[in-house]
Amino acid sequence: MITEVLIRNFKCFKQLTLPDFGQLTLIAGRNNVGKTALLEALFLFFDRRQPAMILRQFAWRGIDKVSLEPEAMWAPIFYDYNMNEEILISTIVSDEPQSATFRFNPNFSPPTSPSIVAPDAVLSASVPYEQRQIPTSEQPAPLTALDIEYRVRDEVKQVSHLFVDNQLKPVLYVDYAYIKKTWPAVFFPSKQHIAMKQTADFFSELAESGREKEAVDFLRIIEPRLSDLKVITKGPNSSVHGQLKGFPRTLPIHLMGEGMEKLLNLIVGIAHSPGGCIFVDEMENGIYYEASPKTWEAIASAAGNYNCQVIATTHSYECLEAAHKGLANRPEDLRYIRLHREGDVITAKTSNYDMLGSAIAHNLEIR
Amino acid sequence: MPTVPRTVKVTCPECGKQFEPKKQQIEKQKLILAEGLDAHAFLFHATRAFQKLDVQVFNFEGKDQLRLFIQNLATMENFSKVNTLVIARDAETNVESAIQSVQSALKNAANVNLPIPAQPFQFTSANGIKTALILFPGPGPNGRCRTGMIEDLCLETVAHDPVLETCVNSFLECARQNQQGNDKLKHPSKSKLHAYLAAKNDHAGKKLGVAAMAQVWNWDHPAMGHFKKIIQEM
Repeated sequence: MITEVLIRNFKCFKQLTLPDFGQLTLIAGRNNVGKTALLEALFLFFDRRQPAMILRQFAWRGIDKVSLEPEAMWAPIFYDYNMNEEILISTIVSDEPQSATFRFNPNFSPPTSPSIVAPDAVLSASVPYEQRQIPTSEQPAPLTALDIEYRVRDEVKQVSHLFVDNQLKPVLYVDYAYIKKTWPAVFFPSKQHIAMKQTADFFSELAESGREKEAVDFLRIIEPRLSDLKVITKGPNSSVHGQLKGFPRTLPIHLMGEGMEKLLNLIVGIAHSPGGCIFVDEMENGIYYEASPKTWEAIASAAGNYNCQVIATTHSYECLEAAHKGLANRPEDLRYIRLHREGDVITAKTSNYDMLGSAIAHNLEIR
Repeated sequence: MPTVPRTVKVTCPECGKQFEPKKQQIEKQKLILAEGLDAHAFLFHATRAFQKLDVQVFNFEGKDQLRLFIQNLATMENFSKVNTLVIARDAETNVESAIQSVQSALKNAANVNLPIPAQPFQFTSANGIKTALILFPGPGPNGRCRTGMIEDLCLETVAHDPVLETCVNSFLECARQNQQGNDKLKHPSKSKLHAYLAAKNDHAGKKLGVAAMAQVWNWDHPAMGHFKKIIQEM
């Protein structure tokens, strides 16, 4: 579990210190204060072995195509677009100090036979490849790269270089890697539907261990008529279908409403990430307010069962109230982080369960 | 927990419509934290009477909630701009205990580094912010803080009104003599204040804070001296 974070020179953060995370951590703040950027920084830390680590973050923001110019390709993830400063994402994960640095390398010499890290360490919300393509009219020369260094307790465990090859695909060339353990992580962006196949794959993992009823029970919070869930495969496509009591056929979950899709992805994402983390941008989307406290209660229970950390952003006071109500039996698990901007500086203030309850009871504006 | 939870709607006294109360934000650099709705209203109207329009009053509800309230305040937007913080509460039955309770709340408010006033009605400052403690009813003629509550201060400002001196005191004396056992007056100051307001044509049924808005209490009375001075020095 992530307990502490220090971020430098990433997107809108010159330096941001977050000293206290819980198993369930909610992040709020005004528009453009860096809520999503904070999730992206944390996910990038887990996602550093994926060649698509940067491109898919663009896709989540709705940027479908990226130019090969360094200013377009790499600069947006640096504070003030300044690629002369390195990005640092430093964390305490399961009591172990770990960090990743990202440096712009303007003169990268491509290896003759790149060693590409298999993209199995971290799975994320799939983004169709077409949505993160690079215009084919551009040529990848001269080569630039992001040099990535990963450390555990100040010891270098991995050195790698992220670049775009002459096939216009992102490639991760690994100089050195000594990693015993990886943490699974899943990112749920606010602007995109999760690919049906990923949902089906994750649900199949749950079904394989005979725990699919957990997902059915979870979805019953908002759809009490649901009696069963199953994966339906037709040709190359798989999707999860739900059976409603009294209904003559199954229905694809993706057609049963945003809330159903969201809750299913949350539960299978948590089950997919034991010992890891899920990141949810705009948690409240798709969930009716009356169902929200029960949803939080169920999320907390699932997160505890799978030892999965949930870090989510919200704009909604109702979401904060619901989280507070839903975690009444697990108050020690909840943290609430509010990001503030004063001038160019963004800072974070952290509240625990009791503080959040007091703020809600006193009707304080804490979003 | 507060007496008015967030989900309770408020009725507009002018149009009768119900609405959810606006969430409290820090809008000014000088803050007073009041203990309860009545004290909140009293202090708000006191600041207006003393021409201190740059002061914002918050309600922390009860003494047991002061520490968390301060912690929350410090996480809110604009707290870094706050330069004056005054905490107002009743002395109740033990002045020292009331002082220590506020000092303890300030000291134990996690991640909040506020100066801790050593004595009531004196500012102390550090790190760009000054703090003070108002203990109602405030100091007596010997300058020492007295036990009691905000009602005592209000009543002191109208002490020479014959309605209070004669009628209300007689009424309460009569009540005392005719009550037995557990029925004896537990909150004599509150009883006295409400009996006084009940005897005033325009103010019958009003609470202390609403009476403050109606200028029932004499803001210029010498008993208000220490209180007024602290507000004016904010």
